[in-house]
Order: sequence, then structure tokens, then C-alpha cells
Amino acid sequence: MHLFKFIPLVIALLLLSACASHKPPPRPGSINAKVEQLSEMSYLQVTDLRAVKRNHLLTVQAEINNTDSDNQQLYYRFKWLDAAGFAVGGEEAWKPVLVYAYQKQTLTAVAPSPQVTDFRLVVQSPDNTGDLP
Amino acid sequence: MKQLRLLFLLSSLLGAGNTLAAKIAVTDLAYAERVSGYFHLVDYHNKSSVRASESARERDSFESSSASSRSSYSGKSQTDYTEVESSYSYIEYGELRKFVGDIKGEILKTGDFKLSQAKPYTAKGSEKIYDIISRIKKGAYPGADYVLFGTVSELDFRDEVNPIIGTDTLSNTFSLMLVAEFSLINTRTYEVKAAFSATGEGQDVRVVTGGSRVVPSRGKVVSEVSKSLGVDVARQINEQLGGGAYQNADPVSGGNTMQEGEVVHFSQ
Repeated sequence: MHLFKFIPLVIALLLLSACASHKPPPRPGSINAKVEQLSEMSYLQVTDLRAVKRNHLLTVQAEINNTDSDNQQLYYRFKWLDAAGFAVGGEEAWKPVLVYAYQKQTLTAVAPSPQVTDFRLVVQSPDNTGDLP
Repeated sequence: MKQLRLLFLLSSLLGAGNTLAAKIAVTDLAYAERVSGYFHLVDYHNKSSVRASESARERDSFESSSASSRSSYSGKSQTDYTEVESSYSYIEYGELRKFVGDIKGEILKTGDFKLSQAKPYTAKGSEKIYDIISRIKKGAYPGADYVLFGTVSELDFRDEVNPIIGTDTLSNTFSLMLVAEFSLINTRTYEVKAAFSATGEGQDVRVVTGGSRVVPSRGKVVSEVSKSLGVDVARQINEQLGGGAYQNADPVSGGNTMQEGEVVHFSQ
């Protein structure tokens, strides 16, 4: 009989855990909406992201900040998307970048085709704290 | 303007397919172009003749002997040389039989108008092509309440090659921009109901690496120009006459609003 008392509590806990596991979607127009991290990165952060259309080609510049006292290795690649959200071109190779301690590194990329209207910056670092998805 | 608005209101009340919608005839785009040329003509003739003859006679007998010979030589040479150099320039008038199909299509899409076919201007090109009142009077636009008269202001082809910063590739851009002026003229009162300039733009961009050669698609560019011009014309007619809400995405960019050179800064 006493067990029934805990049923609402269990339901509440389940609901809370469900809420905790689902992050709210990133705000449109924010860096988080354009950056895909393969897990949470402890020391590296995308602090600035901007895009411009030059010669009808999308050019993207991202700034990576290392908040650690050690150098950090970063791997990144861009996903290029057309107006319908389809990937343009093949998958890019991962590019390694060493971000020195307490320093910022700028990444620049140009879209491979004028059909590209959107992009995603995919990043991963070996010193990630989280688990890979 | 009030009458036209009333016409729109009535036409919208009665729905599509009614007989009250104003009829528009769309002219081909008239143009005037200065044609300049230069010629350099060299005419050279040389005629020469040589004539030579020789005759010899010899006579020999017991009593006497004689010999005579004659030779003649004559030569003649004649050279004519003419060199003419000049430049010329004239203004060519005509109608561009392109780019109006999509204008008609977009006007029909607004649902406020019906279209009637205009007679093409086939007379020998002269400045009379701009005399729209005379053309209306001559019955070039049968059954039309309004004539959308368009003239080409500028037609500009560009072929550019620019290096892409940070890469070893080049961006080859072949583009065409057409600017035309339009007047919407009442065929009875000759009142100008709307006037504006509209732009059509199209481009074919190819990414090339050094040494490779690309051939731009002129068809794609012309099609884009025509479509974007049609959208711009319909939008401006709608704006100036205050008709219903005409909405059409930019066909070139597919609704993408990012403009050339505009920096998009993503927030934290």
C-alpha cells in the first residue's frame, strides 16, 4: 500500500529526467544553430561566427577560443547545404588545427558552389569531456 | 486611378474568369542602339604586258646576197592603288523579341488583369517606335484597355574571373543585367497609370581550378533574367496600382535573402 505513495514521485522524477535529457533547440541565428559538436568540449569554444557572400560564394569565418593552459587539438569540417537543406558536394575531410593555450584561432572556408546558402561547422576535440553521441 | 481600383475591386468580388478585368497588352521591349564601325579598304591593281617580236630574212643568189633582220620590244605596266578609310555610326531602332514572356506570366498570376496580344512592330526601325500614341491609334493593341510599353535602358553582359580567397580556385561569373523602363498607358485617355524601371538579373557561376576552361550557359542566364524581370514588373505594377497582395519569391536565389557582400553575424 505504501508503494502507491511513491508512484507520483516516480512519475515526477521520470518527467524531470526526460526533460533533462532533451535540450531545447538552438535559437535560429545563433552560433549553436550552426555548430555541431560531436560532444561537449571542455576548453574549446566557438566564440565568433560570421558569413558573407563574396563572388556569389558563401564564405564563413569562425573563431575558436582555447580557455585552457595547455594546447588543444581541434578537428573540424564544414557541411554545405543548399536552399532546400540538401548537402552540396561530398563530405569534407577532417582538418586538424592546434589551438595554443589561451589563444584564439580563426578558421575560414569558402563554399564549393554558388548553390550553397547554408552551412554547419562540425567540430570535435580529443579532450572532450562528454561521450560521443 | 479610382476607376482602376474600382475595376480591381469589382474583379476581385466577381472572382477569376470575369469579364471586367482590365486588359493589358505588353509590347516587346523597344531599344535604340548606336552602331559604330570602322573600315579600311585597300584596292591595288597591277597590270603589265610585254611584247617582243623578231623577224629575220636572208636572201642568197649567185649575183647577190642580202640579209635583214628586225626585232621589236615593247613593255607596258599600269598600277592603280586606292585606299579608303572611314568610320561610321548610326542608331539602330528595334524591338527585343525576348524577355516579355515572363512579364506576361507574372501579370496573369496577379489575377487582376487579362492580357491581349500586341501586334509586333515590324516597320523599318526608326524613332517612330517610341511614338506609342501613334501605335495605339494605328490599332497595334486590339482590345487592350492598357498598354505596358517597355524600353530597354541598359543591357550589360559581364564575364568575370575572380580568385577565391584562401583557395587555389577561381570563380568564373558570367552575368547579364537588363534594366528596362515601363509605362502603363490607358489606350483611350493616354493617361499613364504606372511608370517604373525594372531590373532582370541572371548569372552562371562556375568554380574552376587553374588551367581548366568553362563555357557558361547563356540559356540559363537569359532564363534567369527573364524570370526576375517578370517578377519585378508584376511587383511594381501591383505596388503602384495598390492591388491585392502579390507575393513571389525571388526565383534566382530561391527565397534566400542573403545579398552579395552582406555579412551575417551569428550571436552567441
